[in-house]
Amino acid sequence: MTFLRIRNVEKSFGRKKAISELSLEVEQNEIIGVLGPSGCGKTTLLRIIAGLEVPDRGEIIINGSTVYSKRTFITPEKRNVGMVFQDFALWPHMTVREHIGFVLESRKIKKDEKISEILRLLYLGSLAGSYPEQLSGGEKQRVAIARVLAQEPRILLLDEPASNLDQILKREFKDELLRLREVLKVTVVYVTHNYLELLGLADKITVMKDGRIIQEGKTDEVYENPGNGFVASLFNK
Amino acid sequence: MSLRFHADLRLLLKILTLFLFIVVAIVPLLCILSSDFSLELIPTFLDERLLFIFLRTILLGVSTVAMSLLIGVPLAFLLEYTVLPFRSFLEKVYILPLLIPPYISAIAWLEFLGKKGDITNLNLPLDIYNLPSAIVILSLSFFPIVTLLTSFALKNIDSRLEDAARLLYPQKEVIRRITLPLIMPHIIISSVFVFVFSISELGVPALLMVNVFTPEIFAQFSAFFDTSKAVTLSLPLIILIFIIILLNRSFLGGKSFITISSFSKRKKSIELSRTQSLVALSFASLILVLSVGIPISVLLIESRLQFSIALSEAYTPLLNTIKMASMGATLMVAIGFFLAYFYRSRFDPIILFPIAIPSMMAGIGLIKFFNIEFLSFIYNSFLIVIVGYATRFLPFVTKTLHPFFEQIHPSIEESALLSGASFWRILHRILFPLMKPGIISAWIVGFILSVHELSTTILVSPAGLQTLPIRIYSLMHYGAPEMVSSLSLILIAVIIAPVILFLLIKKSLFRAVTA
Ligand SMILES: Nc1ncnc2c1ncn2[C@@H]1O[C@H](COP(=O)(O)OP(=O)(O)OP(=O)(O)O)[C@@H](O)[C@H]1O
Ligand SMILES: [Mg+2]
Repeated sequence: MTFLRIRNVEKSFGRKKAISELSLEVEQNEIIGVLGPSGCGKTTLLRIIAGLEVPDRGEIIINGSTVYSKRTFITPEKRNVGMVFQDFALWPHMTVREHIGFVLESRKIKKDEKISEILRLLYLGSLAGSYPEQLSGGEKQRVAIARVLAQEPRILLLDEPASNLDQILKREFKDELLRLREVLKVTVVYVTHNYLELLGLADKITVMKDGRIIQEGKTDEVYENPGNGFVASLFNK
Repeated sequence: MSLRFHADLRLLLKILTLFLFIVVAIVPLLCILSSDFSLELIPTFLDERLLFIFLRTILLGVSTVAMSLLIGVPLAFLLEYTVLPFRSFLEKVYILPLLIPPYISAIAWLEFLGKKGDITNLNLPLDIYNLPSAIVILSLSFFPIVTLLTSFALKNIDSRLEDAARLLYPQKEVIRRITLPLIMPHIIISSVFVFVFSISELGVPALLMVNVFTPEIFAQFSAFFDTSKAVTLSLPLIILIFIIILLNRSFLGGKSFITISSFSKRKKSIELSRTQSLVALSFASLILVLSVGIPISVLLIESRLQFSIALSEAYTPLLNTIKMASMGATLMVAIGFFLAYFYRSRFDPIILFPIAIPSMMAGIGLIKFFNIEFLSFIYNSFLIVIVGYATRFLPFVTKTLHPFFEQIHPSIEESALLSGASFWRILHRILFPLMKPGIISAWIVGFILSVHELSTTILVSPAGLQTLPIRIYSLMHYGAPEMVSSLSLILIAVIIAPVILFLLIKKSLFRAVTA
């Protein structure tokens, strides 16, 4: 079943076209990798899906309901889309515990036990009272994930979630993500400019250049048979 | 050998900077404590008259802060977060009220509504000789401080912090629970500025006959009464302000949530409905008409354009003002530059300390310290006025320089060091050129504040030395509306001139540096 459907979406900033004529379909419980060089529009695409950016035209359908079209615009808080931002974007004035509480509160959920449960799930129990600036890179990432898990989103958007982690943490993150996919049955859009992060993780890969999709397919297929020199160069070939 | 010299010059400058800072900004303020404060004066708190003056002063300060926030914060949000019509125009002009000294606005409003018989007077049955009028006039002068700092924070906030919350909550909630807490340190520090500025103001309460501390101390001092009671009374206030500054800094390990980087600064553009736009625009226009439009128009009409007569009358004070403000600004930039360079933000609480001191206290401290034989060459000349400017305004100049230093990457300097450049060479070839926009901005901040200055200057300036603000202030009491209005406009021109000059050269200045 197609869970996320994007049709002919366009977005310009002034004269600069960030996304042009982009269409994309993602199945439920699938992990799709979006690969492309800096400035090709990856972040913009995620922001459009989340509702943080309003496209100029096109259509976006999540789980059968239209969240954006010519006549509709569903605001972000009503889409139940979760996002892990580049550099995590943790709130500097809140402790780890308050991060989780803030999210649960938006869902009107009775908090205390649920908070502890999430903290335990991501091994954050001992850091519950810490502020973001007291955390290491890996810890920050776990908080970012805990925050998005507390939301229990239907779609998880990940914007370069591992680019600031060392190799070991990158591995762990991959395992973590696969595990969460099984547990939560969530659909994932994973944006990166580093193909290594996608191997052994993503079911499909979409390659972007200058706001367009230039190749898509099963991860292995795209990796084995890059359609042109540009895609090959993204795989260091 | 050259390395040796390098180290020596650096060390020498470092020590000299600290010494000058202490002499100019710290010692005079400590002198207030040493001589005037004594425990025996604690019963002063029971002196009913003084106590009332004290409470009125706090009421004036707190109300002015409240009103400045009510005007300044919404305005900042309108400018930074909405697609308001005329936004870029408003962005440029909202700062203007800050360039008109509050006592000049008070003069204009008195001519407009107060002193019956002036040409522009509306002859309304209104009494503006009261505390609320003073609060309104001061707020209309000081709200840009709030807008300035709030806008700066909003501009530099990492917008993804808001986006992360926007996925969960409606826009209004995001502003309340994420944006506002993040910019709170900036709002608090702007409140501190407005509070201290408003209780430091002499002209407005004196003209409107509102008895608060500043005119009271001035009166006591002029009449050779001792000021120790007033000083004792105001000490708790100074300590309180200082604690607020300290707490605000140490909040989250002394780090601001707002960091200056080019990362993720999206211009927000919340759409307004037609009615919302109309209301917002009327609000902004009303504020500008009240704070700039009416005062300037009244002054222009009352002056009958008698500028040449006014100039010949006040030629010397005008020249004094320009000369001393320039020298003051230069002194402050010189000390502030090395203070910001050598000590970065490490000494912030100490560097910010003078901000907590109201103008009259600063004046008393300066007199206590410099009125000794050994330092009489300062005390008896215009130098005391210049030192006075530095005592009050050095923190502002230093803080203006800070962000410019932060943008210079340490590696630029380190690579120069490694290539064996002497400290003098680094200063001359790297720091000065790169810091040029910062130095010029800081100089203008120092100059504007100094030209405004009335209440400290009037206390410390030696007999016979008049500045333009003092001249205007004393003329006020003889009632010569053309003269007062003309001089007021000239004073405003002196303040605005460097700003206009700066705006004209700004483009080429910043281009030269970033290129
Ligand atoms: N708010 C904005 N205003 C103007 N231009 C923008 C804005 N957001 C993105 N752009 C432009 O749109 C293009 C795509 O940006 P986007 O951030 O989506 O790229 P990206 O693929 O995520 O790059 P990176 O890998 O560096 O994060 C870029 O050219 C960028 O400059
Ligand atoms: Mg990006």
